[in-house]
Amino acid sequence: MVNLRVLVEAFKSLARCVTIKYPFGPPAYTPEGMRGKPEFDMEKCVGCGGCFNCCPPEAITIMEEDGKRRIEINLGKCLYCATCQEVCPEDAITLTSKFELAVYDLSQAKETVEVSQVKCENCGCYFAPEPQISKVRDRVLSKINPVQKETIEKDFQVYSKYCPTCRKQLSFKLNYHPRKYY
Amino acid sequence: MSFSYENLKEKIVSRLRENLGEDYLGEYEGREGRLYVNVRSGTIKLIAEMLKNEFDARLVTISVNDFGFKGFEVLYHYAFDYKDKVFTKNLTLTVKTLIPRENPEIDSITSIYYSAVYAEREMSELNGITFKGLIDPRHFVLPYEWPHEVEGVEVKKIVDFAPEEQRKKVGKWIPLPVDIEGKPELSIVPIGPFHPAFVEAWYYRLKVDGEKIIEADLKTGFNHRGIMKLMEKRSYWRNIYISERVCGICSHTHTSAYCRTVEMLGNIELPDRGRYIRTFIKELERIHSHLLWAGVGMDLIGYKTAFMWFWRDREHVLDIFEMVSGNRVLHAMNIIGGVRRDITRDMIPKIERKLDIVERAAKNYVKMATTEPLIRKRTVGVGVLTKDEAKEVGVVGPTARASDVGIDVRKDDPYLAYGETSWDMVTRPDGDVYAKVIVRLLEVLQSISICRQCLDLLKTVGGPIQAEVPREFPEGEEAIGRVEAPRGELAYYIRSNGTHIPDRVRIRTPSFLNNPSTLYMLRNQTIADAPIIIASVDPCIACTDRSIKIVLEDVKEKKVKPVSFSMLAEKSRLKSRRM
Repeated sequence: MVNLRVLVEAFKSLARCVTIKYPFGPPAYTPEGMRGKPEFDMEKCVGCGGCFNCCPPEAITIMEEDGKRRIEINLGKCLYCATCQEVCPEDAITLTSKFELAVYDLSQAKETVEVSQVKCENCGCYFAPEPQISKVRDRVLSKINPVQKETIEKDFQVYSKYCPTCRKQLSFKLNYHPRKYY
Repeated sequence: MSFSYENLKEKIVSRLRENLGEDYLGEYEGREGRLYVNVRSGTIKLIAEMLKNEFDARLVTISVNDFGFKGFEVLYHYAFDYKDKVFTKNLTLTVKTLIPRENPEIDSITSIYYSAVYAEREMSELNGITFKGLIDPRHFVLPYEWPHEVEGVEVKKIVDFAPEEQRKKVGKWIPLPVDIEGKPELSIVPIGPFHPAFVEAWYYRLKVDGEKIIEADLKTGFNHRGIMKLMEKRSYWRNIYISERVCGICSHTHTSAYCRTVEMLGNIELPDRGRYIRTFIKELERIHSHLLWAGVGMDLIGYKTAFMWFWRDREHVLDIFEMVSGNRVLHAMNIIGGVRRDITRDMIPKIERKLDIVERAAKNYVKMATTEPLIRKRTVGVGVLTKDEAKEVGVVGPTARASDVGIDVRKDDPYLAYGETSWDMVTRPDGDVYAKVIVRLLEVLQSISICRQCLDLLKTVGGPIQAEVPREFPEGEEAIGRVEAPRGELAYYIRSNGTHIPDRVRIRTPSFLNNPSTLYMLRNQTIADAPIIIASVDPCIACTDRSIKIVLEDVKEKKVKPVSFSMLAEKSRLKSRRM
């Protein structure tokens, strides 16, 4: 059954190798923009939880304990769809080109980031991640009218110490009322 | 008889009014040529008969809406593409009828449309509706031996079959359960429930006389995972990734069918650039699917060398996918209202170079398929599906086009960029396995041409790739979206309820209609030809069962020892070696 076409193809294949020696050869080629293992940037992440809200298979979880907010990606559940990368306001999460994710212990198959939270000075609860509050402050102050800027900057220092519930309770004492800006 | 699109719509409505009288409750128009008709439940059979005889309609599928205490709404979707070449735009007619919850009974239309058997069996299992006079009322998803009462829903008894009497009643040969009682010269060869060649589980029973197959019977539904139900619990945006996982090979097709339906619901117009990118990926997927199928087919007839060639050249297509979308198989390119990633200017020359390689290879394969004696000997005249049979089973896609039934959603109901690009529909009159090989290989060349045209358009057209999309969809809207998957027409029916979560999602995959056609093709063939005949429709069990995971069942305790597909495939390869 050996015919000419088979022979021609066989000689062509000798000149051009199609397969690679994996995993013993050089590292496998991965193109730019491949959707591999998602990784957090510890310094950029503000702990807002946007990725938690949008994750299609619910692979991202948020846990809060001891004044820390821990965001965790379960790599066994992850679809590598890059929705979290699109949603992240700080570009803190990126899908790298790492694809060799096999582990011996399932508990290692995850990617975590920890963000410290602000403690309310009145009731003692932890209410928001620290970097998120500072990011929001910077963003608000950079866009605001310079006349009001000074007042608001002063206000921020006071209000960012209290949780939303306490802020309502103490609004009179702290002289907190939106009407004063008008 | 020739109708234009407008003419056809008026004609159907007037004929329905005449025939039904008081049972006709009114009609309304949907977007993109969809027509919805409300009728009383007693007239369903009459309508089916009228549509088949007068308008040559094709039954797309049957779906059911559960309205709680108000009852069930049964929907019959019809397309009119058998009488093609006349319409500029296709009409999709949906006949709706309401049946009470206490007594969910409706006439079966299986005696008119054989293709309704599988849809009715599935709907009676999933929604608990009784179809009176169903030709083949066995379980579809559940095992045949399952107890009759399931969680409050009464599932009818397994009827005693007298196949010959049933066939006499219908007046034609139809696939029915096989048995060899009283005929010791015959025997039954079970294939499955494992299917090692495709890593998918299904179960064939071949009634054989020596080497010759007399009849065959098919059981699917071993891996049902309830994806349709799961989609009713998640938001429209999260559902995209579930629909992508219905089938591995046509992942992009499933998401674009889903997105097309949701875009119809919300009346969203795609931006040009998004449309071209979506078309480009879709056609690439067709190339990859057809090359993969051709490889498997060559493997089954024992031509291992060609199998390696096909899969080697398919790698180039996967490389393009990896470059554009970031993944080889699950592209995650679609989002409601557009696509997620752009094709940049510096990617285009690389893609064109890869397409050149694939085109050269595909042309070589067409030449090979027409001249290679081994391929011709094993496929010409094997597993013939005639035009009448093809219409009877309602096959779609390359399987239909190989039997001279010229249906293609891309031509009949143009969506995305198919109306703007120029390409030909490939049909073959023979209906055997060889015709299916040729149709698929020629379609690869057509797809490459569409890909090139899309790339040319992408070079000139700028603008956004995503449209603005509302967060919620209006209440009570419904849409049926059809796209041409590599295996044939894929239909999604979605109903909205005013929130960000769909009320009902129904998926009708192409393999759902194509799989039963193998039962027609297997008759009077030898056992050694069975693997290539079964594989010739490109069966996708993941599609049919809407599942991903394979559940292995214990077959040791059963009396008959199943023949695995690999053993049978080995037999098929032996036949080639003897030639």
